Amino acid sequence: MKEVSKKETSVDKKRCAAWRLTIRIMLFTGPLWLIVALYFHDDPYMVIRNYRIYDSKVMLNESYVGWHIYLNNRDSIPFNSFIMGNSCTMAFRCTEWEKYLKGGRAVRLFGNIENMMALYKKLLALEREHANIKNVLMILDKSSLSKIFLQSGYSFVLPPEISGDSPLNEQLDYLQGFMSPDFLFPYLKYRLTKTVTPSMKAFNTYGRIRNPINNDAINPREKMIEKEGEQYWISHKNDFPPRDGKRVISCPVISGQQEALLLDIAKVLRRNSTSVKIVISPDYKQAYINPLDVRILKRIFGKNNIFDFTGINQYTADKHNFYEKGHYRPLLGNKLLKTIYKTPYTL
Amino acid sequence: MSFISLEFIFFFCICFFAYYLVGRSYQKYVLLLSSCVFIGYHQLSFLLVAMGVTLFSYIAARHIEKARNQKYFTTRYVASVGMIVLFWIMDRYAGTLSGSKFFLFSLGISFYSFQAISYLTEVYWGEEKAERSLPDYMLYMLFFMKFLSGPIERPGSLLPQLKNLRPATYEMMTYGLKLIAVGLIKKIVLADQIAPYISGIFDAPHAASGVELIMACMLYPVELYADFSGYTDMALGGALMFGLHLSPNFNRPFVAQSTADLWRRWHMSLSYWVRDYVYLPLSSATRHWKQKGLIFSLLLTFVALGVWHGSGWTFVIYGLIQGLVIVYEVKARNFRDWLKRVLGHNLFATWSILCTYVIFALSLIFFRCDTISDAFYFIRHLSFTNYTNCKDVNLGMSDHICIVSGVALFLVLVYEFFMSRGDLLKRLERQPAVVRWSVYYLIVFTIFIYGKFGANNFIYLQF
Amino acid sequence: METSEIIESLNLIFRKVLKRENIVLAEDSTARDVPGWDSLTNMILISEIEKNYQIHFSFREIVKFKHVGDLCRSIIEKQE
Repeated sequence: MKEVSKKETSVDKKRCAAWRLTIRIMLFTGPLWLIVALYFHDDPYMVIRNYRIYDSKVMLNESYVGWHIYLNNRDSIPFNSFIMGNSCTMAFRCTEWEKYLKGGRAVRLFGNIENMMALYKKLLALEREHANIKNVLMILDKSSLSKIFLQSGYSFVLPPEISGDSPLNEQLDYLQGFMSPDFLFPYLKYRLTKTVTPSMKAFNTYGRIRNPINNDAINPREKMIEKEGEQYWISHKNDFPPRDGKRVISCPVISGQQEALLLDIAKVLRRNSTSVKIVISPDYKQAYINPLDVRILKRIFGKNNIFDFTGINQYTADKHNFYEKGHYRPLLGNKLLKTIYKTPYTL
Repeated sequence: MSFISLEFIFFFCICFFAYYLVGRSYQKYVLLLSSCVFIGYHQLSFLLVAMGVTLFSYIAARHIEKARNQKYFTTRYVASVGMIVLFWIMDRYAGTLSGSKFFLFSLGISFYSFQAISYLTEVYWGEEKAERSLPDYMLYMLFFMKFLSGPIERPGSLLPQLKNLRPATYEMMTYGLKLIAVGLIKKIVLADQIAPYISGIFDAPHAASGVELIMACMLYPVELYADFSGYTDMALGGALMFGLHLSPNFNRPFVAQSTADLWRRWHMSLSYWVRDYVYLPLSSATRHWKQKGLIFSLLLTFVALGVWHGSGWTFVIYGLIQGLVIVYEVKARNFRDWLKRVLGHNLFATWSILCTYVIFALSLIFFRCDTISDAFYFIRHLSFTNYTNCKDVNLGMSDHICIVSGVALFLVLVYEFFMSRGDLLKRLERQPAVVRWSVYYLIVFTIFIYGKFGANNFIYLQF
Repeated sequence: METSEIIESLNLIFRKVLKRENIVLAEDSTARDVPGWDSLTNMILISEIEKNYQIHFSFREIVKFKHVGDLCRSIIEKQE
């Protein structure tokens, strides 16, 4: 009897320890599960459910939003032209580009700090969707040319249909972003007060910032400029660092790996008989992209399809063409398109 | 199933609850069944191969023991070990020889084969009795927490625990969880953050500048260590939650002052295995050759260690380099002693640690590159003066990743320093609940916020 | 032979092989206590001891030595 009760005590003890651990873990993870439940309930990044219009007080993942705007509208609008690249694409309006496209319909598929690998993945995804990739306008700079790794983080992660990654991993990226104190605390404050203040990073205080049909940017700074006029560049002078007018040529950024990726991109474009125009964005700091990089791009994509607007020129000289040192206005984008389409294309 | 996949988390939870719900006499079978599910989850052939090696070594050990003091005692032992080694070589080279991409290298075979050889050898030496209980032996060979990438367990260490399964105490379970958390930080906050950038250089060395090659070479040991020791911590922690103590695999390898010392601290279960079953018998048999015998034994041992890692000349050279450096250290003992007297203890220690690290990093070029020509190209083009731009130093990593991985590395080194002075995790257990739970939340949030999810595999899975 | 005599002669052998004059062994000395004595020098030491005493240790005997005392006892047994 004693043997049996000894065993039973041991059995009870081990079950007690396991049970005690389970209770403690449930208590410990309680707050975490609440946060996860809030995330799934609110869907703050608009990535769990499908939406007709992607408007939010939270700054969304632009790659995700652009892709879903395309998917939402492709049945009613025969998109065959794509503006791709980083956030400098805000200067290029689909409606403006379409004037040069002879009946083409354009949509903007960009991403924040987008690099060549993401661009390549998007082209492959369009191909898989049997999209008619007739025209591509690529807006690049030396940063996007140099980086070839897909970025992680909720602002940059590509949708799984584009990246090929599992939807679970994609959601983990968003959950990570949601649980980051930088986001979570302001979000909880917003949830309680229903107001967004300028101090809340990663939040959109401007209302609608994109066209729901073609993802054209509706830049709030354009409204500020309309309202303030010349005062805009005075009140934002810290966004425009001084320039000394010296001629600066950047180091080359395209080496073997980047070149291999560019060749892969060119293959996709050839397969689809795509007309491509590559814009190397005008740089406010007026540094020239390295001529070696331009030579490589011309060799791969055709010399008449590469448009280098870097350095000291009429486009970069006037600060009124820029919102701040990193982004330029549609005013300038329109001028660039005019320059581009003076030249006939070959691939 | 990788330890850092959601499927494994579900699997582990089910196994854990089942283990503690069933009666004591069934616990073994819960672990055994779970191990079979774990191994066969992606490919049934992996389970069949593992079972085959397990059954073969189980039967072979009993035959060897029966034949003690008989004519064919040694023959049986040599034949059994030979069969396992041959099978392991065939499995490893099958893909290469057949040219077929579809021939999968059996998961964990390098680890459990060596475990089987260890068991047979201990039985042959009379140190262990041949195991009578097949379930006990199967669990020894197939236990899922150590199946993928070790540690390579000695029979004297794991078998007695399995024969006398004792449930984990609450303290063991929480200690195990803490180890798992440490492993996760090493793996997903450190190793996986820097891995893509380092791999980018090693996969295409011809496209990299001299500075990028240097940085990738110097960072690769960190990635490898964080990845493998992270896995080991998770394996040890997970096993502890079932009341099982597995052997440690690392002991602060980056404080080693010589390559010989490094191998007493790096992948210890493997290095002690080759020491006990290859080096010691060899050096004993050749001891009358004096220094030549020592050199021969060392070189052969480390070439074998290199070959264990992979089928290719790069791994042979990797092992050979380790052997050659240790031979040099033995021959240059007097010089090192003199240098120590001249420089003083601290300066000599610093110098030795740096030299050991750099030599190890350079040898890992052969470990990591696909071909010998790539490895030699890599070495020839290491250069401080050849760079595309100043961003080459960080291999394209963003400032955020540099800071996160830099801080993670620093914390890992500090953690290990304090662990060597006394068990930090046990000291944490003695703190008030507020302090403990704050630290736990900090760790969980760190993993969640700074971890790189999505990379599901560990480097040593390929072995 | 007495253990103390054997330890004295082992001191000479250890000092010669490990090239350190300050080695002083005791019965409970292990590799941890003697600088330079490790798995790399162990077999050379064993070989010198065998040569000195005209004996032979088997491999299993060698690996079972836990400390100098075990070594001394084995030498005494083999001498008898």
